[in-house]
Amino acid sequence: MRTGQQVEMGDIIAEYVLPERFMVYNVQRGFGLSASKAESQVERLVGEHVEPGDVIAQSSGLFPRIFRVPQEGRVISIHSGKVVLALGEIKHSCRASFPGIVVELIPERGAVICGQGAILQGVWGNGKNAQGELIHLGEAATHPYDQKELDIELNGKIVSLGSCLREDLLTALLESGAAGLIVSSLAPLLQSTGMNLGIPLMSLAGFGDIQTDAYSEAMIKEMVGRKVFLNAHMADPFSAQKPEMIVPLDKIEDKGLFDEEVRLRIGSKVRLIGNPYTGNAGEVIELPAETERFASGLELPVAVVQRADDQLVRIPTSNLEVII
Amino acid sequence: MTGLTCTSLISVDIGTQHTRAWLFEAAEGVFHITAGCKVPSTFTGGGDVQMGVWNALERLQVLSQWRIFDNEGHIINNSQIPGVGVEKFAVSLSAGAPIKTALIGLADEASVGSLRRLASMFYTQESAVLSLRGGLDAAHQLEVLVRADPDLIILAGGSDDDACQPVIEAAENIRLAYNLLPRVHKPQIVYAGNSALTEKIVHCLNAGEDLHTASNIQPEAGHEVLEAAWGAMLKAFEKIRLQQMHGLEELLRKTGGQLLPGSYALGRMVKYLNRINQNNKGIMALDVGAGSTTVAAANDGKLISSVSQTAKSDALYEEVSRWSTLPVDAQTIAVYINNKYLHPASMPATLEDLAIEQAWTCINLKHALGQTAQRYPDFEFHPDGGLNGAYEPIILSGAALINAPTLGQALLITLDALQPYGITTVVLDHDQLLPALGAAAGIDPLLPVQILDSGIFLNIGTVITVDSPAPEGSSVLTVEIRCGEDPVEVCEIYQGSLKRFDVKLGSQARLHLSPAAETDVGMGRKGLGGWVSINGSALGVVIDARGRPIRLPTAAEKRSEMIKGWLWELGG
Repeated sequence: MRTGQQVEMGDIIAEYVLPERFMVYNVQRGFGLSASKAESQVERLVGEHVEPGDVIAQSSGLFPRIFRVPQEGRVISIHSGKVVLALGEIKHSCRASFPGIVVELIPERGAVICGQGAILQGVWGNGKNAQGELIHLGEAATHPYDQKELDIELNGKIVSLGSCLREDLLTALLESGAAGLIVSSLAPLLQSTGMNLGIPLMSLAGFGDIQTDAYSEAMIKEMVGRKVFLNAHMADPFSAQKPEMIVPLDKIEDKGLFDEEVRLRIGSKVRLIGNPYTGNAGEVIELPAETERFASGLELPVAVVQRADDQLVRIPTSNLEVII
Repeated sequence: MTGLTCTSLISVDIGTQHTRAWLFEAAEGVFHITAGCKVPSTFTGGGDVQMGVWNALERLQVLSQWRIFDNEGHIINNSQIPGVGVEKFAVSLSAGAPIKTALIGLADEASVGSLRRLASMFYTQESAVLSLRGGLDAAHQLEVLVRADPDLIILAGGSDDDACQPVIEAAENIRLAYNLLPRVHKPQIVYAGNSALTEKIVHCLNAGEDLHTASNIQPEAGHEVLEAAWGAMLKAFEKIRLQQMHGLEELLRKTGGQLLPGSYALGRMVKYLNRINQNNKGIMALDVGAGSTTVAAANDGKLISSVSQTAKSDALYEEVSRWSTLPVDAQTIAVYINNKYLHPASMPATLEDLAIEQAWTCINLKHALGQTAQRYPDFEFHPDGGLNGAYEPIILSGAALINAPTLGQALLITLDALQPYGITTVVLDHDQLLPALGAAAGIDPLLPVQILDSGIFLNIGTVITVDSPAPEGSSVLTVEIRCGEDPVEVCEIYQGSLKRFDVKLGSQARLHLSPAAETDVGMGRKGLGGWVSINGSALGVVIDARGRPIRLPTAAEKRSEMIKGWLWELGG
């Protein structure tokens, strides 16, 4: 992989191989020799590739003893009369999760891939990724959950729906052949089921029974029928990594290669976090200089947000997530 | 000649949510705080840690009118002009993910136990624990080590008289893992075992500057000296964090600052306070931060320090539900806690969210104390019984406690988690100054001494615990309170109650305690009472006769009423 290279989703960006298992032959003990003499009986060199049946060391005499290799591998150490073999291999690959051009290689982390399109970020993901046509079932499919709502062709599609609070809904969606799921929220108890789901799962607003916010829903509806890439990365508070849905677009407004600094300002579109406005979205219309005491008794910096239903709400600035 | 190493020093404490900075200035041989400030940290989300520090320094410059930056925005490191430039810089760091650590010791009880205690001070997370006498053969040990992919490997084992072939063999495995792991930044290795083997280990590992050797943390069987490995651990910690945190290396280069883990800096201060403390009791500091809880306690010069995290689980949600001031079910709590993990900076805006947040803080604190007791068997805390060890004062710190809307809430969270015995004082490090002082102490040991003299803690209150087997509602203690010119107040304390008496800040009071025959109030034995002098504080004296352990009703409504009643007694 090099910078400037065009990649498709699924292309390997980086790969490393670890041995499947290790084997230590104690030649010294096995042959009853001193360490230096034992090492002289070893017929291989460090780093040498070995095949099943290859002889590692053998003793002479009336009853010669032979150490043979059970599995393909390589010699990684000959030390103190012992031979250590690394056998088999497990490949770990880092793959491109959407098409684009590699613009930066980051040691130990991966690569920065640049593509053109729209992005919808969530807050929780199960670490898997997939691509497919976007279909939106909305809240109706889950509130209350009705199997009939799912009796449409979902095979190979990225399915967007409301909150997912029942395990049988996840199972039904998996059985329908969906390639990936975007839910507005997830029941906390379904977290481990979600992690083990064979397809990517992204929650837009987190946990509980939270409806999709107006901005996200509008974007999803606009993208229905398009091919989307769902990268349900596990959110990491210590890096910028968040789960996301990417929709490649040929023509978009050029905002430059790098994001502008995300700052809360008047006019910012925001998602509201925490009670009592979880799942709402709106626009900041005022950022008062003074802190304000909330129902909890905490005195906090405040923002006045105009919600999609035109209602004005006052909310701690710490409970706002800026939508880019 | 003042005897001070510098006349101006900035100490910065970088936390997960906030970066705090203080400017200390020496005048006539005495340090004082010129200014301090708090700004949001910029490390989370993959940001540059420097930005937060720079924002803090700019704010500090405005507040103090002390010129920290030159016209080109560079820090003025040295200057002969008063009010210009900073001579010394200290940095403490509690931000960042826990360091993935592999512990390798000779035997479970001895060396692995010591390693756990050593590692827990440096915000580590065990990714592998290998006991060389644990039965795993060399091949499996190597497999475990490679799979764990640690950032830090700590190897110890064997007293200085032991023959330690297993330690040498473990070092050979570490060498293989070190070379096999596909990393740009290789793991750091700390060796703190048999000193006679150090040379062999250095030769065997061949890890250059990634190896940090220390004296044996167990020079003789049964004798532990964790301090011997602190230097090596600090070097490893610094190297790992420099690799992990964008901008940290540049920050240290530009400022010439020394980096310390926040928990280490806190521990240093607690140890110092214990040395100057005259009351024959230990000192304890509790810091409930955004991602972890630090317990630092010192008694007779011995430091106990441990950083813990509480894992999410159904049992946790149930436990939080039990201690909530409002009746909230475990499912609602699961939603709150899981969302808080996703948005750690969010704050409770409703009463219900606050009740959950505070109950969660209480449980985090309780778990951290429990984990500390597991790591240090002589730390006298039992999750079902409370804190038996005598510590005074108990210093509270961390956003979860400092941000409590009232001091009564902070105190009740602490009492419910600790369930202390005897008499103690609870104070608040409301500006979270201790880690910054601990970091500064490495540059000038006089600085924290002089700053502490200026009174940086807020005295929340004195707590007297009444331990009695008497049934609920029985009289267990008679208290007579004499406070200045006020009329003498006599009060009966009943089993199961929590009672508060005002002793205003700046005033003094004398209390005469007359416990019932089987009642212990921390005066030496059951039934023994006497006079106690109390300094005034924000909440005064709190007499906790709720019993140990505190028993809560099964019904959620009754439980909530009971906790609200206690909170009400402490001022709401």
